[in-house]
Amino acid sequence: MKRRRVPVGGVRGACAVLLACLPAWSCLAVEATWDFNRLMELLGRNSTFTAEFVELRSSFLLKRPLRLTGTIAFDARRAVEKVIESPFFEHFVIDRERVVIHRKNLHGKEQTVRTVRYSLQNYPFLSKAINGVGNVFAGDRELLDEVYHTTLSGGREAWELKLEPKHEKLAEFVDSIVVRGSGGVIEYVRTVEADGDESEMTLHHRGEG
Amino acid sequence: MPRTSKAAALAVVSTVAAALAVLVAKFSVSTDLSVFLPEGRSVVERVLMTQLDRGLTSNLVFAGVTGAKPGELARLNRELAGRLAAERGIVQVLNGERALSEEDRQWVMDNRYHLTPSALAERFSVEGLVRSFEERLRGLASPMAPLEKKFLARDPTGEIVRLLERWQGELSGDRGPATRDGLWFSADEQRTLMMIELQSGGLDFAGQERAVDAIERIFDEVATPGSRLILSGPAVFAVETRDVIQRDARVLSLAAAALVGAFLFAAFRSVALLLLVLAPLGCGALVGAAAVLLAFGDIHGVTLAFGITLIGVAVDYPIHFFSHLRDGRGDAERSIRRIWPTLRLGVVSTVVAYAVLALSEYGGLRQIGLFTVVGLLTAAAVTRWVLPFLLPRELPLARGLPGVHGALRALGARLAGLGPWTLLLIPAVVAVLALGPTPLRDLDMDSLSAIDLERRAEDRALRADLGFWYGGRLAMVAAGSSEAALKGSEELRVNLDRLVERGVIDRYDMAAGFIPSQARQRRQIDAIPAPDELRARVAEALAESPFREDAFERFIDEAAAARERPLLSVESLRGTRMGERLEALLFESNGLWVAPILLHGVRDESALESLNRDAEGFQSFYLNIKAEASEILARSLARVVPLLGLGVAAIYVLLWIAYRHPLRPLRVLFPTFSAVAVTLGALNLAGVSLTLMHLTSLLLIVGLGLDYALFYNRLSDHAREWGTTFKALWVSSFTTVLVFGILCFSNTPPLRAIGLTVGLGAFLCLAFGACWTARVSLSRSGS
Repeated sequence: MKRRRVPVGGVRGACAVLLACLPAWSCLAVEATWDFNRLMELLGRNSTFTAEFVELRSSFLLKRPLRLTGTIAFDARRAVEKVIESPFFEHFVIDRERVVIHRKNLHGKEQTVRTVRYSLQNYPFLSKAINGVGNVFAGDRELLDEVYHTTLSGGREAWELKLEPKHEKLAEFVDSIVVRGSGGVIEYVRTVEADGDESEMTLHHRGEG
Repeated sequence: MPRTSKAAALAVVSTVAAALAVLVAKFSVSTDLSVFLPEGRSVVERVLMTQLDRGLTSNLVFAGVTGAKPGELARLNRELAGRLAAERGIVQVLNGERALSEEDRQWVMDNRYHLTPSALAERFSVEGLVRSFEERLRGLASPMAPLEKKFLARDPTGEIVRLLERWQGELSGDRGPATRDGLWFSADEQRTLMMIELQSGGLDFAGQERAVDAIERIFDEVATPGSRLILSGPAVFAVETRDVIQRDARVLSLAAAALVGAFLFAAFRSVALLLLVLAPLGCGALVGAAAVLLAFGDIHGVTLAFGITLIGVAVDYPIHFFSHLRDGRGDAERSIRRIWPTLRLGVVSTVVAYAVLALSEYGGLRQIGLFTVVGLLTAAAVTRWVLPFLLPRELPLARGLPGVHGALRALGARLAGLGPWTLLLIPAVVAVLALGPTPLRDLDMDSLSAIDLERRAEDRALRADLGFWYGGRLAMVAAGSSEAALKGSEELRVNLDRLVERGVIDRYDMAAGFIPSQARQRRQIDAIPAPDELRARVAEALAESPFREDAFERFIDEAAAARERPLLSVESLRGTRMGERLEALLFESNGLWVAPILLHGVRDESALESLNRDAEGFQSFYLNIKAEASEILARSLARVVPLLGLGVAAIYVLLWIAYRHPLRPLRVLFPTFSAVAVTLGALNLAGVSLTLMHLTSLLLIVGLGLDYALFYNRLSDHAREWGTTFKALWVSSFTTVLVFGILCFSNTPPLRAIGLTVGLGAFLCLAFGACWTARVSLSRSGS
C-alpha cells in the first residue's frame, strides 16, 4: 500500500512562529501590570537555576563577618542545594522534610565527611523560616502568604521583596528577609535573625536558565 | 462397716477439709513463667532467668494507631497521649513529643560535664577547643544556625546537644521512629506510634490488666470511624493469654463435661455414680494445690493446669471401682477390697513416675511434681475409703452400652497374646524419629505461647517501627556494687566500640552511657582546667578565629561551676524520673548489681565471645536470651532422662516385689512404653516437634498406661474379669480420649498439644494393654 503524503511543513512553520512570539507577549503582559502576583509568576517559571554566591554572615558572637563563597542550586523538586567552598567545605540540601549536612573536615592529612540529618518536622517554625527563601525561589505565593507579610517595591527590572513573619513563633527565628532581583532572576538575599544576626548573599547566575 | 474404714474415711475427709481451709486462706496464683526455667549454673544466670525479657520491658506497652490519614492519626495520637498521661496507673506516655521534660533537660544541661561521653581532657585542650570553635562556626553558617546559637556561647564543645540527643533517643535509640509533626510514625506513615509506661510491671498482673483496659477504653472514646488501636508488649500479651485461655477453658470444659457426662451416664446408668466419678479427682486437686501453697507460698497457673491434667488418671480409679459393683452400698466394701491391691499398685507406680518431676531443676516442675504426687495419693484414698460411704444404697444392675462392650471385648480378645509382636513397632518408631524430616524437640519458648503468630508478628513490627530493642541479645555485667558494675561496663566500651566499627553490631545501650561511674566522673571533672587557665586556653584557641574574644565567657563560668558540683550516683538518682528510666539497665538482684548492655543489630555472634570476661571487680558475658533459655531447657531435659530411667527401674522393682516374679513386670512396662513410643512416632510423622507440653503429656500417658496394664494383668488371671475390669478399662480410656480430644479444638497451642498427645496415647494404652493379656484368657473369656 502506498503511503499518502501529508503536507505538514507549512503547519510546523506556523507553530514555530507562534511559539517564538509567546515570551514576548508575556513580557508585554507583565510590563502592563507589575505586582506581587506577576513576580511570583515570573519566579515560578524561572525556578530551576544554579548560581555562584558570596555570603557575608555576621553575628554578635563574631568580631568580623564571615565571608562564605560557593554555589547554590534550586531544582524542580524545590530543594535548595548549597555548597560552601571557602573558608571550609560544607554541603547542605534543604527540602521540605529535612536538612542534610555533609561536613568535610581535615584532620591533618586525613579527610572525613560527616553527615548530619535534621528532620524539619521536629522544628515546625524553624522549618518555615528556613523554607521562606525557597518559597520565594519557587514563586509559591500561597505558602509565602500563609506565614509572611510581603511588601514589593521597585519595578520589573529591579525589584525588592520584603518578608516579615506573621506568627510570633516564627519571629523568634527570623526578623525579616529581603530579596532583590531583576525579572525572574534573584540577585540578592538578606536575612535578619531575631537576635540581630544577619546574612547577606549575592548571587551570580551561570548563564540564564 | 469396719471401724478402721470409718476412721480412715474420717482422716481423708478431714485432710480434704484442712486443704480447703488452706486454699481459702492462702490461695494466690502466680503467672510468672520464669519459674518454669531451671535455676542456672551461676548466680548471674539465675538473675538473668528471673529478669529475662520481663525485667526490661514488662511494664511497657507498645501502641500503634492506624486506619486514618496521617494528619488525623497525629490528632488521635495527641489526644490519646494527653488523656492517658492523666490516667492512674500510667507513669508516662512517650510519643516523640515530650521525650524529656523541661526539668529533665535542665538536669542534663547542668550535669553535662559529669554525664558526657566525650573525653574532656581532649575537649578542654587548646587543640580540642580550636576544633570545637570551628565546628560552631560551621554551625553558625548552616541553615540550622538558630538552633546552634541556643547553646553556642555556653557549650561550644557541644556536650548538651550530644547528651540531649542521647537521652531523648534513650528509649527509641537514635535510629528510632520516624517523626511527623513531632510525633512518632512508622516509616510509611501508615501508623502513629507511642510507648506507654505502666506503673505495674512483672508480677502485678491485676494492675497491668487495669491499665491495658483503660488504654482500650480511652481509645474507644477518642477513636474516629475506621481508626484502629494495636497494642503489644508483655503486659498486653499477659492479659490476652489469660483471656484466650479463659475463653477456651469455658467453652471446652462445658463441651467436655457434656460429652463425658453423657458417655458415663450411658455406661453406668446412674446420675449418682456420674457425679461421684469426679470426687477423687476434685479432692486430689484440692489437697495437691494446698500442699503446693504450703511448700512454695504460691501456686503457678501452669502448675494448676498441668497438675490437674496429670492427675486426670484419677478419674479411672472410681471407674474401676464402679465397674466391679454388683449392687449398691452393701457391695461397696467388698468390691473396693477386690480391686484395691491392683489400684494401689497403679497409684504407687504412677506416683513414682511423677515423683521424677519433683527432682527436676525447674521450680515450676517441682511444683507440678508435688501437686501430682499429693493429688494422686489423695484421689486414691478418697476412692478407697470415702467413696464406699457415698454410694447410693441401691444401684440398678443395668449395665450400660452392652453392644459396645461386646464388640470391644471381642476385639480385645483377638488382640490378646499379640504383645511380643508390638515390640516390633519400637524399631519402626526409632527409624521415624531418626530419619524423619521433623526435628524431635522444639525448645523455642515461643512455642509455649498462647499468643498466635500473627499477633507476635504485629508485636515485632511495632517494636521495629519504634526502633526498640528486640534481639534478646545482650551482654551482662555483674558486680558487687553499682559503681563496680558501671566501671565494668565502661571497660567493655572499647571492645564494644570496636565491634560497632567492625559492623558486628549496630549500636549498644548501657547504663554507663547515661550515668558514668564516679571514677570516670572524677577523672572528667579533674580534666576541666581552673577558670584562669581555661580563659587563657580559650584566648589561645581563638587567636585566628572570627569569634569575639569574649564570646565564651559563659562557657568558662559554667565549666568552673561544674568543678564544684557533687558527683552523681545511681543512688542519688533513685526516685527521680531519670532514675526510673535507668532501672532496667542497672539493678540489684540477690545482692548482685547487674547491668545489661543491650546489643542492637547483632550480625556475628561468634565475634561477641570477647565480651565474656572474669575481670577484677566484675564479670561479664554475652547472652542470647532465647538461645540460652533453649539451651538450659535442653540441658535440664537431658538431666531428666537419667531420672526417668531411675523411675522406670523403681517401678520395675516395685512390680517385681508385688508380683514376686522378675518377668511379670514386663507385661506392665512393655505396653506402657509401646504406647509412649508409638505416640512419639505418630506425632513426629505428623510433623509435630515436641514441646514441653508434649513431654508433660507423655508423662500422663505413662500414668495411664501403668494403670491400664496393671488391670489388664488381672484379666490374665481371672477370665471373668473381662466383664468388669475390661469395662472399666475401656470406659476409662474413652473418657480420657473424649476429654483430651476436645482440647484439640482449643485456640491455644499448648492446650492443643496436650489434647492431641494424651488423646492418642490413652487410646494406644488401651490397645497395647489388650495385646499383652495372656492368650489363655481368650478361650475362657466366653464362659
